[in-house]
Amino acid sequence: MEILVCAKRVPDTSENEIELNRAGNDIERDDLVYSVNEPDNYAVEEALQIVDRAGGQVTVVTVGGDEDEEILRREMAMGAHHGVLLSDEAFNGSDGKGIATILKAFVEKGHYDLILTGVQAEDAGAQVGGMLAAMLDYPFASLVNSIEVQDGGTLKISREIEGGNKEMNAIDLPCVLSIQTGINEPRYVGMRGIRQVASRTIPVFDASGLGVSEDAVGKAAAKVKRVDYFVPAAGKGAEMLAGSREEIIDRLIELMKAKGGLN
Amino acid sequence: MLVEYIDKIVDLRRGMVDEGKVPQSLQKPLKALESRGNPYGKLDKKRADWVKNKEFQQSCEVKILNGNHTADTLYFVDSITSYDDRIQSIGRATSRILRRAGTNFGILGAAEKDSGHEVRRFGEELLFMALRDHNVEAIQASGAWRIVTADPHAYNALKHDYRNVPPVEHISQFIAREVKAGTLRLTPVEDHSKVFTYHDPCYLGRHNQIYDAPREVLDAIPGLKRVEMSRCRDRSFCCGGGGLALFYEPKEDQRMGVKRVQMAAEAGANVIVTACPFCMVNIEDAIKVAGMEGKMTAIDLAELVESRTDDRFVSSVTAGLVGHA
Repeated sequence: MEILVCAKRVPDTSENEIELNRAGNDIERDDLVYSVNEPDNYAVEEALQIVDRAGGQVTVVTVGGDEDEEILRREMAMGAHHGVLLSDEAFNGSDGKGIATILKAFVEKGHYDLILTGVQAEDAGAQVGGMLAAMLDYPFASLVNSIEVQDGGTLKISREIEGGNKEMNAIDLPCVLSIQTGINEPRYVGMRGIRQVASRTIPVFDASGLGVSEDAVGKAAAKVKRVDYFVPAAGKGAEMLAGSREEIIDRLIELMKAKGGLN
Repeated sequence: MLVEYIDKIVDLRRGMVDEGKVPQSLQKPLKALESRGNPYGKLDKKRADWVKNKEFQQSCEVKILNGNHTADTLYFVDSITSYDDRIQSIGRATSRILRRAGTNFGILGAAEKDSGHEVRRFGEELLFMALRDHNVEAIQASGAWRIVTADPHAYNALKHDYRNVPPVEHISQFIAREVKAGTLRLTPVEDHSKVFTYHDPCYLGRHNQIYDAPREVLDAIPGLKRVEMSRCRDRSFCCGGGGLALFYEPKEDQRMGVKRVQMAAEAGANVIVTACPFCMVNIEDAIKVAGMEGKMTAIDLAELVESRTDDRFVSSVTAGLVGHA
């Protein structure tokens, strides 16, 4: 099975202190450390496990610049067979639909049976996977937390629904799935692994190479524009319970029942 | 018994790291060590923020050896003391002791990265080598001719895993020598209800045979009552939290730290003195888990010595040195 995983490089939320810039229209980016969007690691791990069982190859693709190559190498160190960078100045400032347009053009250059994305980008809104599926006219399932390859070109998948319940589905290939975190335990990428793929060539496709019209992507074509960032005002502070241990426990149970946390 | 098993276990771990078999809870600290030089993912430029405590800054200058300053002695702080709110107190105590003994010292600040001690023992050899190479260069550039640290893990790494760096001493060895020489004068213990016991940190005791220096320091404090736990020195007991275990929640029936706190109580002690930041985190935690808050306390040797010395004894020569540095 040929699997394509769409990945993204984002500011690492566990290693940064995110602050607004002075103008308030973006975050302060000077000291940020970037890494692979965490949910994308689960998508790559799942793809690797599927080809381990069913055969095939895993390709990881991202839209960005030279600095985004590092995440492709990290995923290749995990075991992905190919990394591909889609890069053109015309792509800068694309909204979700623009990114989906670029990815669609790349998908159409190859023959992929299955396309995976992480459940969402940590710095965006879980929109590209669904749009990509619609543009390709492929079926789509979100929040996927298990995948079984069936005979006859279908997958048996489960989706996480409210309350931790699972919904089982059969879905035809080719399809697009957004992968929920927790579906697996992504393997660790060590320094040795990264060095081993350091000299591998990563093909780069630009707008003309992909046959993407420059009018359809980039800042000018974006119909969603970020207008503001703000830190929400602090709400009412925590309530400290006083009294003996038993009194505190009684009061806590009372409060949890009153707020619907306990039935 | 001379069965050396750690090397074998580390070899097995190296194999597992190469295969990507690393518990999820440890992947983030390892990634942070790679990108930020500390397991917490904190900004590298905030590594020396622990010296910025206002009251501390007024009484104890800590030079950053970044080319603008030089010093004889480098205090290698390491990550846990640099970033952990509780443990930063050990860093400030160590600095005060160095100053009170008249030492011309400084720290690397943002140029210091994690010593890599835990990283190497975890089996991530190439990441360790990257951290070590960075630190060796920074240490050499500092111009210091000796290193002091209050972290036995850093001590063990600098002493055995690093090459081409100046000689390293643990703060307990430094204090013992300065007390003998009369440079550090220790004031008597005021509270006579306190009974102290010393917990040997693994990487100070069993791995480096430094058993006597910390005990000599305790015994040099006038009026200090000290008892030994039945398991001590080379028969000592791990606190249960060495290295990356701080980031890993093991499945165990009984926490080793709790057991150790009970051993101290059985010995008749109500203060556990240790000389390692990792021991401090685990033992303070274990005191709470054991429900012994108020009955048992833990203190680092450097914190204790800081409280039993004061700035009055800083000689005029020393004051001059600090002032002109």
